[in-house]
Amino acid sequence: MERTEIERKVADAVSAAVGVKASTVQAESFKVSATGVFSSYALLELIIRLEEAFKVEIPDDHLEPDRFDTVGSIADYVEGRIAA
Amino acid sequence: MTPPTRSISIGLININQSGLTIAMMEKLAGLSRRGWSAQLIVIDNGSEQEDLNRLREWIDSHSASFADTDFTATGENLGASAGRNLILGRAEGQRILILDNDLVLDDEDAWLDRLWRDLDEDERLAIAGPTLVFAQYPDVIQAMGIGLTRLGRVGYLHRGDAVDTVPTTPVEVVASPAACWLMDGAIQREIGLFPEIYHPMQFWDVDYCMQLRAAGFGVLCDRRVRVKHIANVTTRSRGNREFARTAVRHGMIFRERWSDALAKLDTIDDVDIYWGPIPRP
Repeated sequence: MERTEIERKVADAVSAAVGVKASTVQAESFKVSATGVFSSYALLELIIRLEEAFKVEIPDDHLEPDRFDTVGSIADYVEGRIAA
Repeated sequence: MTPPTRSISIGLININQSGLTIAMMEKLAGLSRRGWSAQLIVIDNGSEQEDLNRLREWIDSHSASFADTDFTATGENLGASAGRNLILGRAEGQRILILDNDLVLDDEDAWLDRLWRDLDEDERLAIAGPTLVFAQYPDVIQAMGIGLTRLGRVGYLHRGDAVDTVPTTPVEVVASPAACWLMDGAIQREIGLFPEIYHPMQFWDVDYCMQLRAAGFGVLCDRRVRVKHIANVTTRSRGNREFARTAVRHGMIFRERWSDALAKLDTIDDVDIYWGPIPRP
């Protein structure tokens, strides 16, 4: 899967989990943690959406909020999971 | 003395907790002496045989304490809403009292009398629920109704607050935890059964309250009435991965179903939701 497609799918997942437009989420300065809705519940919803979008499993011990804070960092992580 | 015309169907679900369920029924058995015509409906949602036997024995030996008793053993866990739908199907009372089996009820019936009067006073109300307080910490609020965020996430209103710091006037709420609902029977029949798409638990009660709102009915939290609830017995098992994922998935279904209504709702903010430890640190 191309990096741009991964980032688009990540942005869609983040957008749905935190209720912010995908175009906003894709901005380089956007941080999920700054949305004010990033609870453990929202993180788990994001994980479920990522698992479904990319057909990967994300173990509970990978659920560190820093890893899922930007589209870029999430895309890096997802690329690693796809390759694993 | 309560007028004998108060015909009420009381529904309980048991799963391997006959001790709690029997303790509840012991309290409910006193209602007939106070003039209520109480139909007791118990659904056993797949308990072990020993638990089931204890429950059956108690109901058989106390049937005279109720206007009618109805006991069904499903043999499997049908889930929270499907199990309660069996209750609805058997309920014959003017009103239906849906209770979790982990409430700690008062010996007196003042709490139920108050909820009953709430429904009497406003025919638009479909459900009257109490303030739930933690049985272990009765001075701490578990829920004064339910609020929803714009994304449909659930918050128990005033959770963790001290009882002497919160308002005590009755208030209409978006939803109320189904741990204790007094429902109008006619409205329930008009709206129908509880949604079973959220099997086995979570969000079915909030969805039902949204259905009531959409049909023009209201849900009241009578904040003067306090009922003790033993938190986390019914469904919650913190740290349980599947439980958490199921709850989140059901939340996603709920948002999908009610996105238009959520956009028009007076919502709460995520920062107002407190699911942390009790007492609050």
